[in-house]
Amino acid sequence: MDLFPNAWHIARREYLTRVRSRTFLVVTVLLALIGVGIAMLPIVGKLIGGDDTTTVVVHADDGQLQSTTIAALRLTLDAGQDGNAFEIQAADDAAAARAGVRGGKADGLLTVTRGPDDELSFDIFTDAGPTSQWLFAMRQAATQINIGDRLERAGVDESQAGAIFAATPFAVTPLDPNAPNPEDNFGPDYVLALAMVILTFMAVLTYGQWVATSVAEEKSSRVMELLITAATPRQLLAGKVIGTGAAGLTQYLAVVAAALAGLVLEGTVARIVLGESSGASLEGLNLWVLGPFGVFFIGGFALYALLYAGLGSMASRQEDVQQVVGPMILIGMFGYFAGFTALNVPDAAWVRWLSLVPFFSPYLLPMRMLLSSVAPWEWAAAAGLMVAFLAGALWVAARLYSAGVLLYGQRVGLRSVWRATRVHR
Amino acid sequence: MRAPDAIATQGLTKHYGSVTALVALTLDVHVGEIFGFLGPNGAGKSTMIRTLLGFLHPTQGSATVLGLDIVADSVEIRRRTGYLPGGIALYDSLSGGDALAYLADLQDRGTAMRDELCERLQMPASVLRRKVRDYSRGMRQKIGVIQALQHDPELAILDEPTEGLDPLMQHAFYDLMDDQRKKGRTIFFSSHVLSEVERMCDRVAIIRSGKLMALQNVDDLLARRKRKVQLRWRGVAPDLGGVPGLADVEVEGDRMSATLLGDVSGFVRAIASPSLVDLTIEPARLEEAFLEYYAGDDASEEVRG
Repeated sequence: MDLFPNAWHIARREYLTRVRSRTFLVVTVLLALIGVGIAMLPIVGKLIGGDDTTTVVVHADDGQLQSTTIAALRLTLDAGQDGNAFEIQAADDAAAARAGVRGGKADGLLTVTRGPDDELSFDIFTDAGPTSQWLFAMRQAATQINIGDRLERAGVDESQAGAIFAATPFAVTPLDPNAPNPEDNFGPDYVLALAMVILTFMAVLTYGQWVATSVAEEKSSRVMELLITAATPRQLLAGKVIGTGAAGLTQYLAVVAAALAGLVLEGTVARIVLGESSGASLEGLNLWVLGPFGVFFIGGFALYALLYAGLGSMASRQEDVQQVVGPMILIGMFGYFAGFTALNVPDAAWVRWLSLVPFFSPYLLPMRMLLSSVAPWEWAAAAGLMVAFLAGALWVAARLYSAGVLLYGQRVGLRSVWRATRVHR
Repeated sequence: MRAPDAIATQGLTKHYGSVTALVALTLDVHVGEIFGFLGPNGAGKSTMIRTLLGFLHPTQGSATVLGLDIVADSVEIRRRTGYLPGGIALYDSLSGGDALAYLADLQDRGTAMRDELCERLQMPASVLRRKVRDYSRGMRQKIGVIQALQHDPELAILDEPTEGLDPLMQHAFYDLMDDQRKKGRTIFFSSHVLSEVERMCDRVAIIRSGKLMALQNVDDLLARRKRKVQLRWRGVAPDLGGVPGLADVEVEGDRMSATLLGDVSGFVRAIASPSLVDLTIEPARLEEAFLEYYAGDDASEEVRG
């Protein structure tokens, strides 16, 4: 019998029932809020972190020394690229400045003195711990000021001093010339690839579980007996996977769209809330990869979901579902860990071969495309295998399903499953 | 040439592991009859029905439904019959009407009888709009009966169809079955309620522990049943010595009770005297036939029709 239109009828009911349920609505809204929250994290961090401008007041008994130090500090600290913002102020009254630090008006009081040997010494009065980042920057700046001062005293003129302080060329040559540049590892492509691995894993596990549970539910409530009279196992399975998959995808897209909207709007929100950019953005993301990712994501999801459904029909009670779908969870986890490992070695031979295998291609293929390259024949092979595996999975799942329908209350084990599929031609 | 039987089984046997659910069951259901399949819970009635519909595969033996092989053509069998599973379950989140429409869509074979069925089984539109989760047991059962018959199938296989129906609805159902028979449809239904088998069926099969105990015309079966007779007289007691089939005679003053097997005419002639004051003949009940078949494991009592 033809798969359609019955599979559509089944998918439609499955989809509508799920999407109209209150649980679905609540969970989707909650997840979307979490997605937006994660997108807004940089802003929230800044808000909670409060004003991260470090205010340092500088005091020296010698007015001249005080003003040159302030000028030099501003110069060196602004040149620093670690993102610390400094506000350097002069303090003529040391006691008042100390009180200011105590009262939280400033983060620290830097006292500069010139000793009898003409050497500069610095003292910072602060609450900050020795590992504090701004203190580290301050120490570096002080060292530079001191060296500059020594050079000046040694009679080195300003242009020579500029040459001395010029940036140092410093390259990193990896042992393995093919190893990816570690700097790239945390670039936007890496983050996107990581996100795809996690998204695939969550979708396969969550929505696969949905399918298995709903099949087991129909079996334990015996609705299945009526359904299987009206439609064939293949129609039922295909419809269920399409319907549940579409509902899952709806939830998924809602959450991802909310998170993306969060990212897009983040700059605007940051300007409104913080009056400045937060630094996060979509720029530099190769979003076109979402196209091929989507195709393999849906194919992979359908593959997992079909088998989840077939195995779910082996369970006689809801409590057994977890047990019977165990193998699928293991395969999904394996793909997840393979994906994680492959992030750092996208060109390894095992990654290349594994990325053609349908259970793992959703994890690995789009990632390879981002971090390495995929040959056209590899695309073709992966897609062809996916289609073949889908057909095979439908066949296997339909057999499991028709065998599982009437295995009411029997103990679930590999042997009984095998026997059932054998008897149930 | 005679049309093939609606259902014909040949030595149908089904084992579940070490448990034997059906033992060499051979029976035939003619086109246009109402066939009752009777047995206590756990006798193998549902196993038989599931085997006929191809959900289970027989360990031994073979069967045809509408001339189609139950193993090879189960999809076609399911398409052409109407099936009511025992202990029907429906999607709670659908309304009764939506459930019927959904199943009709899947079966893709029309709803010629739906409106008539809804009316006769008293499922008005207002009830059909409500969600199944708010339905009583009987309402669910009615939806089950309607979905099995809504396309007016040539053969309906119904597993305990009157389960959960109130007496009024049971009678509506019996009338419905009578009308279906008049239209030439075949009904195969299981039951453990004797009175309805007696009321509806042309023929009945009785099974116990997966074995066929009897397969007979209901009329024949009833004719062979023992009736309870009670009489009271004035004056001279009637001479019942030569009445065939009379047994268990107990006399107490001017009253007598006894059991009477088979034909009543001899008995009636014997008691026809002016001294008779009162007479009760309790109608023969399949109930008793049934109890007799189930009493003890005496296999020699097996009756073949």
